[in-house]
Parts: sequence; structure tokens; C-alpha cells
Amino acid sequence: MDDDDGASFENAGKRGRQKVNIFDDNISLDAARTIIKSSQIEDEDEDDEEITFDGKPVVKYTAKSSSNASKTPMPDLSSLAVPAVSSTSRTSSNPPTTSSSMSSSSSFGGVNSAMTFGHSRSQSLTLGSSVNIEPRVMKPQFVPSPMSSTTSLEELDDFSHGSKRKQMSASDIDKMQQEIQSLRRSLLGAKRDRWVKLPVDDTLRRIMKGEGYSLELYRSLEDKLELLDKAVRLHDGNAITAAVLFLQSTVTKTIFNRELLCRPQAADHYLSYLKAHFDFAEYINVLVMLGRTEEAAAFKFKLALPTTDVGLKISKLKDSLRSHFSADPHLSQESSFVQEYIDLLERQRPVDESDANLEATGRSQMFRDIPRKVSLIGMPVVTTLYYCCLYHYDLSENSLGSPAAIKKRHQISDKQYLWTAISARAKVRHWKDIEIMLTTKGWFGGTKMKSVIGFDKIVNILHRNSAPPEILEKYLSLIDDVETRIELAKKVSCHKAIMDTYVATKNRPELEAYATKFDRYSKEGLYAHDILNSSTIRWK
Amino acid sequence: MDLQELSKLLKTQLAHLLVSIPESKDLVLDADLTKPLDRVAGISFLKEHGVDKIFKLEAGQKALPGCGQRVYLVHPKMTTMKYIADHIKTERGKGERRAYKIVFVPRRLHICEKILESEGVMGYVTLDEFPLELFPLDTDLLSLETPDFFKSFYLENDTTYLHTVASSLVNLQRLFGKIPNVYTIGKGAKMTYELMQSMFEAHVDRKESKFHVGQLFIVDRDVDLISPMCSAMTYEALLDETFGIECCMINFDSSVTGDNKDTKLLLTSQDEIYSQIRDRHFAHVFSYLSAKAKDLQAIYSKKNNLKTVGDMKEYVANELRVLKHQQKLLATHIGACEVIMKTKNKSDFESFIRTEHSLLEGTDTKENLNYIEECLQKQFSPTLTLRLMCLLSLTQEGLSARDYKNLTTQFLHSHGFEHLVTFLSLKRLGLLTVQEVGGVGNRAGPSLGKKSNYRMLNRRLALVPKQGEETDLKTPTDMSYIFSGAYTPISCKLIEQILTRDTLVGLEEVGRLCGGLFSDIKQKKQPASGRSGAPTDPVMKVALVYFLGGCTYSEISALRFISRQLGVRIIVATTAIVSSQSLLGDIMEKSGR
Repeated sequence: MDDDDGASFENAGKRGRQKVNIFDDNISLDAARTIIKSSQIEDEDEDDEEITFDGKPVVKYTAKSSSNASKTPMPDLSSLAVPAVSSTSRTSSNPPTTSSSMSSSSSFGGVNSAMTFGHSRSQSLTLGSSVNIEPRVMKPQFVPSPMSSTTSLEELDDFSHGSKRKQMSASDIDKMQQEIQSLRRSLLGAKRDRWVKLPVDDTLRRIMKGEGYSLELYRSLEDKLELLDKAVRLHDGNAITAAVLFLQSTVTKTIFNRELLCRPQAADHYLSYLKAHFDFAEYINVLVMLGRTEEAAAFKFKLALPTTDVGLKISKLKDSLRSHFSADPHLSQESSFVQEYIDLLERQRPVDESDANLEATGRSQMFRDIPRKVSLIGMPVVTTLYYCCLYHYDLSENSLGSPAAIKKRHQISDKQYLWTAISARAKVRHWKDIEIMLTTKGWFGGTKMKSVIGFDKIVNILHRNSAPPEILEKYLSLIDDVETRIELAKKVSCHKAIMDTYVATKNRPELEAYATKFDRYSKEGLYAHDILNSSTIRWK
Repeated sequence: MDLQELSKLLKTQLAHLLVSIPESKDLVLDADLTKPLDRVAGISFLKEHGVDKIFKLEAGQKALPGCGQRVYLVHPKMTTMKYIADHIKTERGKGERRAYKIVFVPRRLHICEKILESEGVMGYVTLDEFPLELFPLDTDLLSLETPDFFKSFYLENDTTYLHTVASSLVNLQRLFGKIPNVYTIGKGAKMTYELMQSMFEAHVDRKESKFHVGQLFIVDRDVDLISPMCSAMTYEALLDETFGIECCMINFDSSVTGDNKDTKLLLTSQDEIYSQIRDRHFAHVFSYLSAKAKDLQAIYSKKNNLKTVGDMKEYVANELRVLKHQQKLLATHIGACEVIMKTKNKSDFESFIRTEHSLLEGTDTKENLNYIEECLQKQFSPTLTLRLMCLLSLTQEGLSARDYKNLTTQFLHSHGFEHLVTFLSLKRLGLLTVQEVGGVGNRAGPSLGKKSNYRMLNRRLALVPKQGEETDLKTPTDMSYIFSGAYTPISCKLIEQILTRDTLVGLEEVGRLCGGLFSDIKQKKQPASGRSGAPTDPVMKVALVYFLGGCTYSEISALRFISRQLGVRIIVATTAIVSSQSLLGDIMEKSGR
């Protein structure tokens, strides 16, 4: 860090010296004169450069020298849009005495149209200055030009060049000299100011406006903190970050940490910098230092997530558990989640490995019927449970792939278990397993069908796995609510169940209406006919 | 005032940037700048200004081909700077010499220059800025297209983007005059206002010109986190939720168009059909479309009654062309409606919306919990489930410790333990919090998250219409129609209140509950409303509403509704347009699979 600073310091110094060379004090007046002459005479492009180089002093000077300048509008954005047009419109708004000279410069623009667009910003300045330098002298010479309408543009161009050459008088050179003097003065001032620290407010304003700035003159801790505090009060994140990084690189860690602790906003910006800079170790350190342990733990955990190698991932998770989660009693809940995650991955790894091998041999009917789409590793608990119910339903509880073992380890609720297990067993069409799951022993040795998730939902699951009608009928009949039963039976188009429900509710008209939908001798038609002709049913 | 002025200005600024480098140059763009740039300038515009090749900046690119001058148009991000530094170093290593210019959008940042300096490439680049801040998406809509704002400001407390918002406001006011009356709702809004004021002070401005906007509202997203968690019901919001609208552009795939081609559609008020249906409740979109179809049929059948050749010529030249175009639009919108219906039916929308509504009403808490658990057990869409969980927390002002543990455990089991990080973020944002039990777990510090004040706010502002009051969805009389009458967005309600009262008096309590109300009023409207005095300055009837952290299409519809009701022109500006999908998607931890 220290080395870096030294280097940048040196650079800054060099830059300063370079500047001196460009504007060397030793530049002779003669040289300056020739520069000025040539730039005025030869072509406008150079003129541009002269002015853009240190635009401000020139504008200042011309503003003082001529009353016209103050009338010349500052370049505004509309003029940027269509420079050529706006320059002519400006002409018309000027007093008539200067209008002719203005028109000359506007024709300049016309001739040099190739560059007008690109340099329009500086051109509009040029326009102002050329007016200021030569208005009165040019006027009489220019009067005839508008009358001789046949004059071609080139001639006009030559003419105006010629006139310029003639009118570079002694008074103009005096003005130029004055300008050089004033430039020199402001340069000296600038050089002096370079080593005088700017008030904090001014520096912050420069940062806010996107101008150049330097913080290195704020050497005292008080200055640094004032800078930081005022930046925070300004709410400009960029300034806060600049101030906090400046503080960090110029004071000891102890002081930095001490000051950061009582400045939460500054800390937030420092953190957001560290994160974006991929300085993760420091990021976590600072969070811990600030007492934001939950975030530190979560971030350490997050860092382990993208790891593709399971072994490595597990060890990273264990590391986060050891160094952050377990250390904070407030994070006991989160700790147990991380532990669960580790256990899950440790279970998935061997199961996935052996299943992948088995599938590769092609000898397992199971995997040929329902091939594994992706690796099991990284799947959520519920998906893992589904997987194990699909492929390892019959394993005993002491093996890793056993659904029961998963249920126990992750304290899966009965509802969740039933939901997942039924879906999986329906997928492999083992209806018997489902029946066993839902059968409970009654009080007196008898059996009873019972479910914690509602038989309507079970029917939905079965239907989604295209269960045969007799299976659907069986579970439809277990739905207590008649309305729900009929509605669902209609949805899964299980006609027998619908008709049975009409019988159960002794609703003959509905049944008769329903029976008309079927061909008399179809399976459903015959069934309906039998019921309707049965004498044992007492209709309402 | 015409918002297109902004576009024009941006175009001019861009043109200047480009022509400041003479002759041809290559342009390298941040991927997420292509869409906004398309809206502002377009490829042909770039080509006209000497852009030769255009590249997209991507991670892992070591070098790029191209000519001797290159311009990078990028957001000021440290990683981006690193990529650029890599390019420069590799290319120089190969002996290629090039002039590099980095143009920061919208401004340069200290950290970026720091990276360029420490990577040792500062000597080869020149730096510039392109203030692409707010740009118009429609006649009443401006966007910064900075979706990062929400996470950066509300989650990480990083104020870097506040500067962008404040500066966009300053620039807007340079163009359209300084807005006399400012209201802020929320903490970040107040900060933005203060920053804006310091910017005004820092710039010596031309004298006060005439203003075109009378009122400015700056609104924090975290004042109302409920709206983005509610199911979209208006057509435009549903389109965004189902297909995703980017910079007003939507891409319909074959499921909508019916053939194998995708259709891109520009969704703005220029599309006559769209402007009629965008803000409608979905239940009444179809009726409009079928009526429109009949109209078209009528025009079409006119061809049978054409008497003269001249008529025929006229018909073929004009009406037929319009007809063809409208027919295609109509077919696309109908196709989109069908897909929306299909998606909703697939996800058991009826029970979902019933649960959502009773959560907002605060009734049947037990059933709602059961439904959420069922969603978790079924491994139903994690985003949709999380939305209900957030709504539960927001409306109950935090979950009980038991419910929190129960629901988060099941969520982690169903959707992966990665979401441990998601829940921490949600807690910090105040979207899913635990009720504080006196003394226990009372840890000081910013990790604690914010509490919602839904119940009190609901009582004060009547956000949920009373039961039994049917909301007319076809010709709505209340802006809550945007959520089928189940809820009124807090910020829109507040804006309506302030616009009608013209003062904050009487709203102190509400202000305290939603993070602070503040006003700076330079121009009083009328001493007493109702009395027949001089008519109010029409400019005072123009309001700009600026959302920090994004707003939803539903809220935009609500504001358009207020605008019609109160006869106030409302222009919406936002850091980005968000939906529940995009908002939660940004926060949810991506699974490592």
C-alpha cells in the first residue's frame, strides 16, 4: 500500500512538471506572437485548439475586452444540436454593426463544414472570440461584400483571410501580451494552489460534479474524518467510498477500525467496495469486527455454494459452521440447517455414486424404465426423498438411501412424507404401496383407510400419474364431501365414481341425466342401466 | 412539455461523444446497455457517427479485434474495468497499438479509476462520461433502467445510485424548469432531495426559467413492499409478469403467435389497441378485444359496398393496410391473453388468489398458513410461494417465531438450503421478518431488518376496501381495481391524498408510519379550494412521481387512474420497472446446481 502511494505521488509530481514545460515561463514574447499570428491567420482549426486548451482564461479576457462578448450567448445545448443553423440565427440577433463580421464567420462555418459538427463545441467559442478581436476594423471593409452577391464562397474566404492579415495591428498584439500576462498570473496561482489544500466542502463538490480532485493534502486525521463525515452527510456514495478508501490507506488499521465502528454508513460503503473487489476475507473480517456476525456467517456459507466438487463443498461448509455459525449462540437455528445440509450432501454422494454405476451397467430394470435425468447431488431434501422413494423404497432404515432414514434425519413431517412418497410410488405404478401407506389398524384389529392430506389431493396425484380408473374410484369413494367428490370425479372423468355418488345420495334424476351421455350398450351405459333398474335402491 | 426532448438531448450528447474521436472507431458495449441505447439512438445512428464494429463486453474476453480506435460505453463497475484492463494488456502484449476511450454511463466513479490505475493501464485510456440517466419509455414514463438500485440501496445501504437519481432530477429540471413543490415519501427519498439541493447549490445556474412541472414526488420502494408481492391483474402488469417487458419491448414466442416465428412488439401508447387495454383489469380485456374484432369485421365487409373504382382504390390504399396491421396486433394480443390464462390455470390460480386476498384482509390466518404449507410440500414454484410468505409477514407485521421456523425449514427442505442466504436478505429488507418477543433475541444492529406498519397504515388510509363493497372492475371508481379491489398501493394512495389536499397537514401520523413525509413547497396553489378564485396555474396540474428502487406496472396503472380522476397530468419516473418475479429473483440465492 505504502509503495503504491509513493508511486502515485511521484506521478502526480511528474504531471505537474510536465505542465510547466508546456506553459514554460521562458517562452519568448516573439514566439508567442508568432503562435498567435499563425493561429489567427492560417486556419481555424488551430485557433480552436488554442482556445480549447485553456478555454476559460480566453473567455474571461475577451469578456472584459469587448462589450459584444457579454452579449454573445454562452454555448447552450440547443446550439450543440445544430451548430450551423444556430450560428446564423445568432447573427440576426446581434446589433447590425457586427452583423457583417458575424456573417463572415458564419460563412467560415459553411466552408469548413466538414469539421463544424465535430468541433461545434469549440467552434462556438471561436465565433465569440473572432468577433471580439476584429469587429470595428472589419466593418468598413466588409460592407461591399453582401452587395456583390456573385462573390463565390472561396473568394469570400480568401478575402476575409486577407483582411485578417492586414488588420493584425499593434493594439491587438498588445492585447495578446496582456492576455499572456494574465495567463501567467493565473498559472502561478494554480501552481501555488496545487500545494494548498482545498476546503473539504470544495473537494466534495468537485467529486460530486465529477471534476478532478486530490485527497492527498488531507494529512491530519481530523481532515480525513471531516472529509468522510461530510461525504456521508452529502449522501453521495462515490464520495463516501473515496473518503473511506483514502482513510483506509493512510491510517493504521486500529484507527481505521475504530472510526469505522462509529460510522455505519461509511462501513456499508467500505463493505460494498470490498465485496465488489472480491476481497472476501477482508469483507468477512470487517463484518465480524462490526459485530454483524449473522451476515458474516451467511456470506461464508454463500461462498461455499458454487463449489462443484462435493468433497470440497462439504469441507467448506464445515469450515463455515466451525468458524461462524457454531461460534454465535444466536445462530443456533442456522447452525442446524448448515449441519443438515452437510449431512444431506454426505448422504447424496455415495447414493449417487452407486446408482450411477448401476445405471451404467444397464442391468437394473428400474433405471431402464425411469432413467435418472440429473445427478442427485445438490438436490433439496424433498427431491432427495422423492428420488429415494422412487429407486430405493424398500431399503431398510440403516442404509443411506432409505426414505425412512431421510425422514428421520431431517424430521420430515408426515404430510410432506406422504405427499412425496405417494407421488413417487404412483410414478412407478406401485399402487399396493400406496394402499399400505394409507391403511391404519382400527381399534379392534380391523383396518381403515386414513390420510393426513385429504383424499382429494391423493386422487389428484394419482390422476397426474395416470392411474387406472379402478384405483381412482377407490380413493374417490373415500372423499367425504359429496360435492368435492363429484367435482373431482368429473375432472378425472371417472364415470363409475360419479354414478356411485349419485346412488349414495339417492339422486335419481341426476343419474338419469348422466346416463344419457353414454351409449346404451357401452360399459358405462350398462352400469347405469343396471343401477336404474335395481329394485334395492330407494330413491328420494 | 414533451419528454422526447430528453431523447433528443441524449442523442446530441452521444453524437458529440462519438464525433469527438475523428474517423472510424469500434464500440464496446455493456450487455445491459444495448436495449436502452436502442431506444435512444439505434444502430444506424451509431454507424452514421463513425462507429465501425459493435462488440458486447463479456466476461472472459481476453482481447477484441477491430480498428485503431476503440470506445467502451460501460457502467462504472469494478469488474468491467478489470475486463477492459485485460483487453488493453493482452492487445498491447501482442503489439497492437490502439487509442482507448472509456465512456462511463452515467458517470465515472472513484473506484473505477482506482482499478484502471492499479492495473497500470491509466496511461492508455482517456475517460469520459455519458449521462444516460432518465430516458423516455412512453409519453408518461421515464426510466433509469437501473434494476440494481433496489439491492444496492436497500440491502447494502450503498448510496452510490442516489447520486444518479438526484443528478437525473437536476438535469430534468434544467430542461423543463425547476419544480417548485417537492414531496418526499420515505428515507431514501429525503436523502435524494437533499443531494439534489446540494447539486443545485454547486452549479451556478442560469436564472430561474419557466417551469413545466409543478409538483415532484420522490417515493421510496420500501414504503410499500406489498404491491410488488401482489398478483398482477391489469393487462400490462400481467404481460410483464408472464413474458417480461424490457424497455417497452416484448417478445412473444410461438405459443402466442401460433406459428414458428417470434414477434417483437413495442408496447407504448402509440399502439391504439394497446393503449386502450394496458390499464384494464384482465377480466375486461377480452371483451374489448372481441368488440374491436367486430369493428374490424365491419370495416372489412365494407368492401362489398364499394361502388366506384375510386372508392376501391381508396379502400385498398388506406383502410386495408390499417386493417391488416390492426388485425395482426389484435391476433397477437388475443394470443397473449390465452397464454396468460393457460399459465394461471396451470398453477391453481383460484386458490392462490383467494389466499392472497385473505392475507391482505387479515382473515383466515390458519387456512392461509395451511395453503402455504401445501405449496411447500408440493414443491410449487418457489417464487410464488415466497411471495405468499412475504405477504403473510408484511400483513402480520412479522411472523411469530414458531411460524417463521416452521415455514423457513419447509422452504429449505423443498427448495434447497442455499436459500438460507435468501432469508437473511429478506429479513434485512423487511420482506420476511420475525416478530420481536420482548427481550429475547433482541440484538441491536442493522441485521435486524425493518418492521412493516401495515395494520395501522391500512386503518389510516383504508388500503383494503371494506368487505361487501364490490369493486367495479370494468369502469373502476377506485384505484384498488388494479388488484381486483383487494389492495391499494400505499404510495399511490398517499400521492392521491397529497394531490387533493395540497398539504401534508393531517398526514403526520401516516408519515411517521411509512418512513417519513417531507415537503418543500415554494408555490401555494389556492388559499382556499372550492372558492371561485383565479384558475390554478395549469402547470401546477403536472406532477412527476419518481420511484426509488423501481415500481410495478400495476402502480403505473394506478397512477394513470388518479391522473384521469383528478385531472392531473402525472409523469412516472422510476429507477426500473419491476415485477414480483424480477424483484424476488434478484434477491433469491441461485441454486448451485
